[in-house]
Amino acid sequence: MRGILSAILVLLLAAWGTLPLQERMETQRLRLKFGGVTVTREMRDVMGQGLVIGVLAGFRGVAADFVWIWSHSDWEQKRWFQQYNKMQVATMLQPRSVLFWDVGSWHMAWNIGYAERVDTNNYTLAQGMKRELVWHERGRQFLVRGIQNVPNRYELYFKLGWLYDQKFKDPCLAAEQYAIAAGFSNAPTFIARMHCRKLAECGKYAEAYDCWKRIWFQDHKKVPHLWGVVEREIRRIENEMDIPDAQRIFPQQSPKPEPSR
Amino acid sequence: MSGARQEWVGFSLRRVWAIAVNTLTESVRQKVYLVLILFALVLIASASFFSQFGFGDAGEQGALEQLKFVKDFCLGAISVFGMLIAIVGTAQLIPNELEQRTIYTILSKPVRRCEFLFGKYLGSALLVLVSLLVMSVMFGAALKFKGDNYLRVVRETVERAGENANLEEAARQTERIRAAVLDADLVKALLLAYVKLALLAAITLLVSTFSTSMVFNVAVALLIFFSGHLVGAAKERWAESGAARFLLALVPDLSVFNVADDVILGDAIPWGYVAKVMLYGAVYLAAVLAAAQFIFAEREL
Repeated sequence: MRGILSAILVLLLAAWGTLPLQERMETQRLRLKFGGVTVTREMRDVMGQGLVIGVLAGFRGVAADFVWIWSHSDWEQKRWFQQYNKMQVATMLQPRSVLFWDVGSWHMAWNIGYAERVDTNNYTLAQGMKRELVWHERGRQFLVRGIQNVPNRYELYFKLGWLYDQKFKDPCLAAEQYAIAAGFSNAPTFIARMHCRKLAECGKYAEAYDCWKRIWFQDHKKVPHLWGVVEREIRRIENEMDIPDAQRIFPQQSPKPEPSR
Repeated sequence: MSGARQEWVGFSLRRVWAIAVNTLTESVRQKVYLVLILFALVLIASASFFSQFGFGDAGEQGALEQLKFVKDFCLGAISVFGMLIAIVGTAQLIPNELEQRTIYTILSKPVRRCEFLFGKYLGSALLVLVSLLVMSVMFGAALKFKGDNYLRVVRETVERAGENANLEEAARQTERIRAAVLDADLVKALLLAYVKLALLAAITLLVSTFSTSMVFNVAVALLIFFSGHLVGAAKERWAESGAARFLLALVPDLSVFNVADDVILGDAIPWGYVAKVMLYGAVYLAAVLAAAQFIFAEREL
């Protein structure tokens, strides 16, 4: 009996002793955005009991992948809403997965949107286009939620910019997102160029010119830009803005040869 | 001098080590273990084939998606089979000794009960370590195989494009694929997985100190494993109640050891966090082993 009581006492002491440590770990986990999935009814309905148990047992990644692969069969069967639901669940299970947000929004805004537009059940083309717009918006909302969950990576800002650019045809909003994405140190350099180009398309020539100049005055040996493209764009915008020769980076009097495309 | 104190007089690490090595040898020779490790290795090796069930994009996105699947799948398999090996390998240690009556021969020699118990535990922890290492090597090979395939595709694409190749993009893709394959944080995930499994083995040993049935040991250990993963969710629900938090602290929060998901998703795991979790695991491990010793010291054999 004394042994059992001692055993219980030791376990109680360990529980009490580790409480501050547990709190510190929890705080750090929250700060680092680790784990943190709560099983909801919606999740259970989509995944079924077996996968939910898997999630509870700590196999969240495997369950998320399984739901993701499962959504592929819905895609093949053209069951868009089931696919949409499963993508929602996959992102609930792994909200920090850039891949799920990125590919999911691409499916919604590009693939499903197009499939809805050309669906033969549409009475008119206008109806198809309206349905397509709904999916564009779903894709946008999906990406916005993705950014809320993964704000520290450039990829989703870039994808949102791409979505505004390609589907919403809004270069101003696209430029905003490209600017955020280009601000990340590991972002590929073409995003910075896209930002400048979209500013010009948006009609903000002065900002676009500043943007191109910022790129041009970087170290050409260290930063891997397509410098010929940058030069071409600067020349173009200088012409469009009709900037006096004295203020141009590439004065018209002594033009440099046009870079080959 | 009380009985418990007498137990520690003349405590010999050599005897503990001898029992541990013997336990490890016995466990490795068991068919159950061989079947489990074989299944685990087959599953891990086949991860690269399972990964092709994804959306199958041939580009960089598809490569990263499939590498993610390989990592999720392999780490999931390591976790499941590690758990089974830790529980099944430990649950039978004391019941087998009792059933075969070998425990009487051992304890009739100058071997203390605590030496016997810690030796058994150490043997079990070594078994888990060996299994984890074997599975990790296979995981590394599967990941490298998959990564090399994609790097070859990138190289071939550049060669085909010739002068028109986008070298900047190719370099970026190569870098991202390499970063996904050679992720040093995977070592941290495996380290914490080991601490979790070692703790699980200790809990199973604690259960087996007062039970005689292996089935009971396995069932209780599994229940503790599942509830250990639910502690985090329960804490969220009853966060305000201090008493509830204390009661919940009695069951170790096993979810804190699961950083594999976060590593796979590219989040950096600070060593500070790893150290805290390891300290947490070590405190629980010590407490559970001490509790097991208190019970085993008084057990009627």
